[in-house]
Parts: sequence; C-alpha cells; structure tokens
Amino acid sequence: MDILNIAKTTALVLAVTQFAACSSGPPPKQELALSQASIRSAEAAGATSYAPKSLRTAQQKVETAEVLMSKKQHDKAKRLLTQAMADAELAEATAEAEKSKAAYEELQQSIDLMKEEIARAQD
Amino acid sequence: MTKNTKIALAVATGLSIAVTTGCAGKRPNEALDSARATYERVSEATLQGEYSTEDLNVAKRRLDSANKAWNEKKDKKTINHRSYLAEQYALIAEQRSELLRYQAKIDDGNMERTKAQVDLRAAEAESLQQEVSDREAQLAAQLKELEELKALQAKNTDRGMVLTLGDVLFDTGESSLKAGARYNIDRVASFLKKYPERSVTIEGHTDNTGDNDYNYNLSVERAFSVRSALMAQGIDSSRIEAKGFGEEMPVASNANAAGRQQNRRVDLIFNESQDNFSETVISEIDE
Repeated sequence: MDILNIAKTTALVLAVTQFAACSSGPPPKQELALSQASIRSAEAAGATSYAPKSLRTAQQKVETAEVLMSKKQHDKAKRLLTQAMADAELAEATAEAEKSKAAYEELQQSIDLMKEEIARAQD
Repeated sequence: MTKNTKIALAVATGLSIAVTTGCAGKRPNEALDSARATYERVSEATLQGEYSTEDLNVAKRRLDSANKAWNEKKDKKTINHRSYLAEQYALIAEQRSELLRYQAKIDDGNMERTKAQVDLRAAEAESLQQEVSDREAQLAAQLKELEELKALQAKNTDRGMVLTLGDVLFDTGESSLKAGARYNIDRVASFLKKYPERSVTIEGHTDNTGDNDYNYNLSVERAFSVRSALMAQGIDSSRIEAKGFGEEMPVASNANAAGRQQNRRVDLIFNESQDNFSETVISEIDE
C-alpha cells in the first residue's frame, strides 16, 4: 500500500463518517405531530384571515416534510418541521395580536361615540 | 509511526478540514445578520414596555444557538436554519408584546368606557332635568297668561279664548266708543303688550233690529273702532284683525230684549299666534 492509497482511504472514511453525521436519523414523528398541532391551533386563533402568509408557509413546509419522510430524508424533514412549528406559532401570535388590536379599536370607537353623545347631552 | 503514515494522516486531516470548512461560514451570513437585527429591534421595544420577557428569552436562546453554529463554523444550512428559527421566534416575541400592549390598552379602555358611561348617564339626567324645568317654566308662563285672560273675563271656547265686550261700549246706532269703554280697552291693550306673541281678532255683531246692510256696516265700524282704540294704545296694526258679521251670528234669541242685548256685542278672539296654546294647559285650568 503506498502513501497515496492510505491517504485516499483515510480521507474517504472520514468524509463518509462526516456525511453520515448529517444524513438520516429516525423519522421525526414527534415534530410532525407538534407542527400539525401548531397549525391547527393557529387556525383556531384565526390565522387564516389574520396571518395567512405565515400559516401557508407552515402548511407548505409540513407537506414538503411529509414527502421527504417518504423518501427517508428524515433530517431534512425534521428541520422543515421545526421551522413549520415556528411559522405556525408566529401565525398564531400574529392573529392574537391583530384580534386584540381590532378589539381595542372597536372599544376606542365606542368610547369616542359615547364622548360625542356626552358632548351633545351637555349642549 | 512511519513517515508514510504521518504524511497520510496529515493529508487526511487536511481533507477533513476541507470538508468541514466546505460548508462552514467564515464570511457574514445574511440570515444570521437579519436574525440578529430583528432580535435587537424586538428586545429594545420589548424592554421599553413592561412586558413579560419570557418569549424574548426563547428568541435569545435561538439566536445564541445560531451564533454558536456560526462561531463553530458549522455548515451554511445549519446556520441558516438556526438563524431562520431565531428570526421567527424574535417575531413571535414581537407579536406577543403587541398582544400584551393591546390587552393593556383594552384594560385602560374598559375603564375609560365605564367612566364615559357614568358621565353620559349624568349628562343625560342633567339634560332631562333641564328639559323638565324648561317645560315647567313654559307651562307656568302659559298658565299665568291664561289666568290673566280669564281675569279679563275671557272665556275658553272652541274658537280659543274669547272676550265679549257688551253693547255698553257704544250708544245705540253709534260706532264710536263711549268714554266708559276706556277701562276695558286699556286692559286688553296692556295684555297684548305683555304678550307680544299674541294677536287678536275683533268681531262686531248686532241683533236683528233694523236693516240688514245697516247692521252689517255698524258691526264693521264698531270692530274697527275697537281696533283703532287698541292701535292708539300702541298695539301694532298687524296684530289686530277687525271684521263685522252684522246679525249673522247671534248667540241668543232675538225674540226678547235680553237676548237682543246679548247679541249686540264685540268679540275679541285671542289667537295663539306662534307657540300653540297647549290644550292640556287649558283643560288643566278649566278643571
């Protein structure tokens, strides 16, 4: 065995180990369930109308992750699912904030209306 | 270890480093920069408000993890992935802050609304009270006016308040007022001065003795005679209408002297010119 062959073999072994480290682990079933639950929760909070973009992103990532899982690309799927969960949580938080804002504005309107009535009554 | 083995190991290590650095990020990473900037913005805004920093802590841990990947020169995909998560959790913290901010504003708003409701009720009550006292004052004024009309001997009829001046004002066949009529005219004039909204219609009537045309002319003349007397007292002519009816509208039988005397008369009808003279008030007085 000459030097070059030893070097080649060692490098190959190391490289394969390295790639194997970022290749597939077990299927991310828990992440899938969690991200799906997050999406449902966001939908229940009204994200469909208040944060459609984030919600759609989350849904698409879950769909893609399911395809990847069927191809055994579990690590890639896991990352997408983790992102999908964050997207869904953002969609829900945005929906809650927007609803709260709308409620506040409505409240403010009713206060303004009442103030007008008071001014009228005092005329 | 042989020399050859050493060389082989060195080459392998070099290749290994090359593989690792191949996907590492020494250069600036856009996603990470963006996540850092977003976190910075959100943390400043959040810390300014008095809100829970729990969500911000989550975002901070995500950013630390992304920074760690970058410092440890992990592959770009890992750095991008962690940066993406750091960015999203910073945005989540931002939305949670927004939620808390609006919830606090809603709490304040609810208090403000409660106060406004109380103010509104108070204002409405005050306004109603004002309306009631205005109405009371108005009714009192109307009552007083009516009582004064009654004091003039005016009677409430379906034509309104009517004051009948008998034939004692005039000599038989004459249309000029007798000196004794002065007192009645003065009283009517002072009433009309006091209530400038009122106008008066003067109607002359006769009995059926004599010629029809003659009676008609006499009734007109007598009505105008009263009108002139009121104008002489300073009542504007526009407020006084005068007309004669002759013997057309008797109020009693012309068959006997007493009836004929009743029919010879001048009626003064007080008109409710502007403000309608509420029937309730009239009926209240009649009762």
